[in-house]
Amino acid sequence: MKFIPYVCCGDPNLDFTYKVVKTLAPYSHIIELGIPFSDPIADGKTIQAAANRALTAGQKNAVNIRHDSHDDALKNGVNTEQIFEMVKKLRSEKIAVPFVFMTYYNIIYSYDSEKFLRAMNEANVQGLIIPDLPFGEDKEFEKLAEEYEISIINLIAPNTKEERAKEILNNEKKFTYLVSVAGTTGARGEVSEQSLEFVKKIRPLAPNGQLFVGFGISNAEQAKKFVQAGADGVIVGSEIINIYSKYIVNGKIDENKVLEEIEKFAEVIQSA
Amino acid sequence: MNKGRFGEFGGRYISELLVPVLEELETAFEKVKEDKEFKNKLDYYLSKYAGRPTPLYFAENLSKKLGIKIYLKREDLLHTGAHKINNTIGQVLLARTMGKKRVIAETGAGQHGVATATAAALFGLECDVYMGKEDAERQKLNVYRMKLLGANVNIVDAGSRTLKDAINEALRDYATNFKDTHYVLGSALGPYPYPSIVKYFQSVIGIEARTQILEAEQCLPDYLVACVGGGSNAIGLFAQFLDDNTKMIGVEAGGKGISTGKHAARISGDGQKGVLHGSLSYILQDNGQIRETHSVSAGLDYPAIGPEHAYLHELKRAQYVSVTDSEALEAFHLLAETEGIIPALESAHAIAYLPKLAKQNKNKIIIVNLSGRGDKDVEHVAKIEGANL
Repeated sequence: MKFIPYVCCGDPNLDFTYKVVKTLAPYSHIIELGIPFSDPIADGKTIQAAANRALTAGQKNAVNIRHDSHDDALKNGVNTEQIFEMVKKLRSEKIAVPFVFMTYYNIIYSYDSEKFLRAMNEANVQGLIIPDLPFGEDKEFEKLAEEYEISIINLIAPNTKEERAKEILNNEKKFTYLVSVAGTTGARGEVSEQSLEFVKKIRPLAPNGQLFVGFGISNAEQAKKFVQAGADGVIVGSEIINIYSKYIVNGKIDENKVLEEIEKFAEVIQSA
Repeated sequence: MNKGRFGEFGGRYISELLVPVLEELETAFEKVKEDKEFKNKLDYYLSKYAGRPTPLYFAENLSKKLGIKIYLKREDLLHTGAHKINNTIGQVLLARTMGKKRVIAETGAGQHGVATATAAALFGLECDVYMGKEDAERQKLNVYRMKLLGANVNIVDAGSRTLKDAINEALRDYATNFKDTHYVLGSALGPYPYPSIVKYFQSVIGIEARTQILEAEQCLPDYLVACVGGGSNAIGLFAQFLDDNTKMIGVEAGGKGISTGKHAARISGDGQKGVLHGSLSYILQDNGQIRETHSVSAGLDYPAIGPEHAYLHELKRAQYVSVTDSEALEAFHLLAETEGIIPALESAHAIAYLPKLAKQNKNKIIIVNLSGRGDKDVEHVAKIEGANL
C-alpha cells in the first residue's frame, strides 16, 4: 500500500530527522516533512510534544522547559532555513522520494509567502499541507503556489459538505488528505465504522483522485481497513514519533536501534 | 470589505473540520440578530440578571487631580465583576438556539471563564473551561469560583501556560466535539465570525455610554480609553463612536517595558503581521514562532490583538499605546484611593494612561471603560507588594 509518513523536523535534532527520512525513503510514496510551529492547533499531544522538543533543542529540559526560558528556547530550536538545507542535502545524495511540507500558515507568512514557495521550488519540495489554511481562504496564495509549481494539498473532513468536497477534489494537485475523524492528530485504538463510511462516501466523488487518509492511524491493520474502504494509502505521523520518542533522553537519542524499529514499521505498513 | 475581513485582517484560518462548524455558527448568529424574541430575552437577562445598564460615573476626585473630565463606564459593577458577562449570556443563548448541550471557553484572568460558567449554570448547559497553568496560579480565586458554578476547569500545562495555550486547547476540543458543543470565545479575536459576534454582544457598552454622555455633557467625548488584550471591552465601547470625531485609545500591556521584550504590546510594541488562532493580525513572534508574552495582568497577557483593532490602527482611526506593569499597579492604587474603586489590573492599564493623556488635554472629556473590578487581583497585588494577608 502507498505509505506517507510524517516526520517532525528537528525532533530531537535535524541530524536524526535526516537519518529517519533516509530510512523511510525506500518504503514511502511521499514523505511529509513537518516544520514545527509553537501553537499546532490541529495536532494532538504526540506531535505537540515533538514540535516542542524540536523548537527547544539544545535546552536541557526540553519537554518541560522552565517558564522563563521558553522565549529564548524558541530562538534556539530548529528553523525553516535549516530544514531547507537538510532537504537540499538529501537531494544531493539522490534521495528521490517526493517531499511535501506540512506546516502552519504563520510559518510561511512570516518567512514571506513568495520567498517560501520559491525556496520550496528550488529545493524540489513539491507540495504543501497547511492545516490552518482551508481551501479557498487565501486565493492569492493558492495562485502564487501554482506559479511556483507547488501543489497545495487540501484536507477533506467527515463534516465537509459534499459540494465543497467536490470542489476540493476538482482542485486536487497531488493528493487529497482525508481527515478520518473529528479531532486532532494522534494514534487511536479502533477504526470507527463512521470513518470507513466517510472514505466510501468520498471515493466515488474522486474517480481519478489520490485519496490518503490520516489522523489516528497507527498500525497495518487499521491501514488495511481504510484501503479496503477505498483509500489509496495512509498517512502515519504520531505513531512514528511514539516509536522513537521513548529513546530520547536529555535531548539525545540512541539512533541505531531506533532507526531499525522505524524501518521495520515502515516495511510492515507498506507491505500490508 | 471582504466578508470576514477587516481590511486584510481577520479571516478564517482554521482546520477544515471547523469550516462547516463556523458556517453554521455564522448562519445562526445572523438569524438571532434579526430575531426580536432573542433580543428581548437577551435584554431581559442583561438587565434583570447581569445588572445593565451600568452607570457612567463622573469621577470627580480623579478628574480634579488630573485636570480632565473623567467618566468611568462601570462595567465592573456587572454580575461576575466584568464586561465578559455581556458576551457570555449572548453566546450561551445563541448556543441554545443551535441545540448545543455543552459550552467550552478559554480564560486568562478567569473573568471570561467565570462569566461563561455563570451563563452555563443559568441556562443549564455543561461547561468546560481551559486555563493556562500560570494563570490558574495567579488567579486561584477565579478557578474556585468556576468550580462553584459547576464548570470543569482544565489546567493547560503547555507552551507559555497562559491564555494563548488555553485557546489552543479550546480549539482542539471544539474541532473534536462541535456536534454538541459551542465554543464561547471571550474576546474579539479568533476566526470569523467570532470577532463580529463578540463585538455585537459587547456593543451594548458603547450604546449606553453614548446616550449617557450626551445626557451628562450634551456633547460627545473627546476621548475613549480602554485596555486591550484581545480587545473585547475596547471594541464594545469604540463601535458606537467610529463615525464621530471622538479619539480612541487602546492601552496594551507594556509589561516590564517594551525594550525588555517582556510585554504584550502587539501594536505599540514590536508585533508583526501574522496568523494565530484563526485570524490575521499583529502578533508577537520570532521567526514565525509565537513569542511568550508578559503582563502583570493575565487578561492582557496575549500575543495577538483582535483583527478589527489591527484594522483601526492601520486606518489611524484608533491609537494604541502601552503602560508598564508598575504604571498599572500605581493606577490600581490611584483609583482605589481617589474614588474608592478597586479596578481589575486589566482596567488599571486604561486608568494608568490618564495622567499621560491629561498633560496635553486639559478639561477634555474622557470616557474610560472600567471593564472589571479588582477583587480577583487583590491577593496577587498583595503578593507582588510583599503585603502579609
